[in-house]
Amino acid sequence: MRPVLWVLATLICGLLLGLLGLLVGKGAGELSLELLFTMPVEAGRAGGMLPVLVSTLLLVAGALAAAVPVGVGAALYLAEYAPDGPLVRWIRSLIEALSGVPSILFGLFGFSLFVIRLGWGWSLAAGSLTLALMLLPTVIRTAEEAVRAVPRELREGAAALGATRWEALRRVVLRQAAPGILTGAVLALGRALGETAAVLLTAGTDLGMPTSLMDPGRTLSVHLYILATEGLSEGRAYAAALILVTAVLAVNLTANLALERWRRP
Amino acid sequence: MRGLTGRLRREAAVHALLLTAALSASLAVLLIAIFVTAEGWPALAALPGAEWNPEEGRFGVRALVWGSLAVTAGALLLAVPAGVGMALFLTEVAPPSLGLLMRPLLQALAGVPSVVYGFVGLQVLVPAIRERLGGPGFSVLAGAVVLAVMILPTIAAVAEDALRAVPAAYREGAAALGATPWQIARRILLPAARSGLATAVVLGLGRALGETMAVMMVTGNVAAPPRSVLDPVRTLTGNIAMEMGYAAGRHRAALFASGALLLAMVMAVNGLARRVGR
Amino acid sequence: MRMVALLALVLTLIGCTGTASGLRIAGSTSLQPVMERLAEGYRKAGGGRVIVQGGGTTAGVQAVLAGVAGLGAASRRLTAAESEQGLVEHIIAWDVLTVVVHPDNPVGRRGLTLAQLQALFRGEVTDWATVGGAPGPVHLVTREAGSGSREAFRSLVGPVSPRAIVQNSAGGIRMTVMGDPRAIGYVSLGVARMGGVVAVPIDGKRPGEPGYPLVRPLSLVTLGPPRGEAAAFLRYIRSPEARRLIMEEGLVPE
Repeated sequence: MRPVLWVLATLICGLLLGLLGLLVGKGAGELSLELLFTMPVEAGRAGGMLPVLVSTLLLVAGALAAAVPVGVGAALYLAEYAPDGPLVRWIRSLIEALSGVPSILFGLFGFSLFVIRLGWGWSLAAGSLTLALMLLPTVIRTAEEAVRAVPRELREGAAALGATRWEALRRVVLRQAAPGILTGAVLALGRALGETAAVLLTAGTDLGMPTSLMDPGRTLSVHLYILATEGLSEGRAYAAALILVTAVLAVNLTANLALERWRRP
Repeated sequence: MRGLTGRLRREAAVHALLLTAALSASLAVLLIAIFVTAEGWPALAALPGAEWNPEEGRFGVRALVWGSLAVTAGALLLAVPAGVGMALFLTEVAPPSLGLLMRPLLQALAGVPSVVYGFVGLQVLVPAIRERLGGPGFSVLAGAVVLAVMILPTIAAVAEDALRAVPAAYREGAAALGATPWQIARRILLPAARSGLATAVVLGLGRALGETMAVMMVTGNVAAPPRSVLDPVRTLTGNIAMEMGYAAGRHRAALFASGALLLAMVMAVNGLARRVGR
Repeated sequence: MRMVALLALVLTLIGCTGTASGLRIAGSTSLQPVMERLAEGYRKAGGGRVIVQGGGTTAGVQAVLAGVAGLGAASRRLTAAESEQGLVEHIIAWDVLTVVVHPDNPVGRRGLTLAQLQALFRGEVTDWATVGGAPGPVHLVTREAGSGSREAFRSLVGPVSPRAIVQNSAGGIRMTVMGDPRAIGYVSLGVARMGGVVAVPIDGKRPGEPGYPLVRPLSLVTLGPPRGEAAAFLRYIRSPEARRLIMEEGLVPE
């Protein structure tokens, strides 16, 4: 059995490393400051991808701005305030169910609600809010874990000093749980960067530089999708893929390392 | 210190606010389900038909369901042995230092966005299939391989947890009786970890069914049942992504209805995962 | 705490400055490259910002009807139903629908008759040898349902077999045909000219020659007579500078 498993493991590792090698090999040559910081020319065949990077940043920032407060709030409720009982079990099941919903369905929902019914059209705002919904389970899960991990003594100490539950939370528990919560947000960031289907249906594909959240915008993952399927420039597609993968891997690695260290100090 | 009444009032307000947050988060999935079903209601009756041809008003999703199932089944066929094998490797064979290296690698594999897998599949896999095996390259096989790579980390991680949960005594007992590592794995470990492994498979199944981008980029999007693994195919998810932007009226309703169907399928699979895991 | 709330409020206000600034054009992806260049040119000529969105002709028309876009980019003629809703068509160029094959495919030189093309795309011809190519299966490539190009192909040539591979952009069809010696698809002349594929003569005529059967009008659609920014943009399109840009994209200006 051993040799078979060794071969298998080597193949699988080779797969990931090969993937990265391919992206670096074919994409690194196209990377330049010009690519990152100038405007696209001829629909992306030449020039840079500055609007894409800006759109991506705006979209992700908006999504986190919406998801983190609600997510942390929900996590606080579940960890600190929720009484045992059917209601709380329902809330948890539903949040878990949310994490299983395919991304295309979020896209359908966001398209129907934000783009069409609310009349926003394809916009970064529609994309952000849709993405925020997708990120909620991740944020809630990690935030709840972080809050629960704060030792009881700290809460009891605060109570002994006369603090209300909320005051104890705000001044003591949240401060302690902040690193864990932040890590959750970073994990969510990684997920947000890689999301394509839902963003495609809600934020659109316009290559222009967005000036407000109501403008459409093309995120990096959507840009890669378009470059890949339309064959405008293979080199640039590889470059976009390389930037995207590097960003996502860096973010995830940071978050996972932080989680490891924080879970087993 | 501020007045007690004020602080208590703030406390109640905060309690309400946080409850609202929790309720909103939980209502989200219900809202999505209701929305999607409501928008798709007018066309639900058309779904069981055999042909998806919006230009002629036919919205049968049978071929699309076949497509989703074919690609998912192929992916599981590839990813389950590989994932369980990987888990066995990590728990039984690999020295701990290697495990420390490989687990983050698998985690990294899980974090790569699906559009990147689709891109590499389009650049490398599709031409390879076309040149070596025939057909246009866009195929069930291409979709299955790309999906398999994507669900492999999930299956490996859950399977590893399941295998680690098997008590050491089982292994030691079997070894004392003279069993080889393979015999131990096959007759003791895998059966003992049965429910966890089943969970791994079902979770992989759920992920594969819901995947859109990568599959869309390498399967050719042909809305007809595939006759072989080299035939192009269209999944439920790819169908929605491809046509949603341009659909109106009944066509749009049919896409939402197929979305509702997809949601039902994925929810059923996830529910199965929970039951199987017990 | 109060700072955070204040900051959130400010950010929200900044974000929600009403609808996006600029004229929105939505519709045909075949028109997207030329629209983007015209938008660039319009801006340089002193005009306002123009936002170009794809989505397909039908989506663009719907967007104009819904008031979400100021102009719809259409790569097919409006249907009677659409015209009855008050939509006005302004033809800005003619697109030459180009059938493309891989450079290694002999059909690229020999050409096809319209009848052969129709039979091929209906799925009735399953081997290239039947129409003068090297023996082997035919891999049809088409656009997605709702695409103006697909509509145009349907009306100019005929229905497409459900077994044809579907790509959701002209670029995607070009890429597929570029990589597969057995593939055949249709794109606009501008996209065909990007290289890697060969334009198939139909009934003896090359695309661009008078008498080539597969031509379609490209238009910008407004709800009622054009006003404001949309009218200014339409005026710009008639200028010599814009006509030059249109020609550079492989289209024939109106």
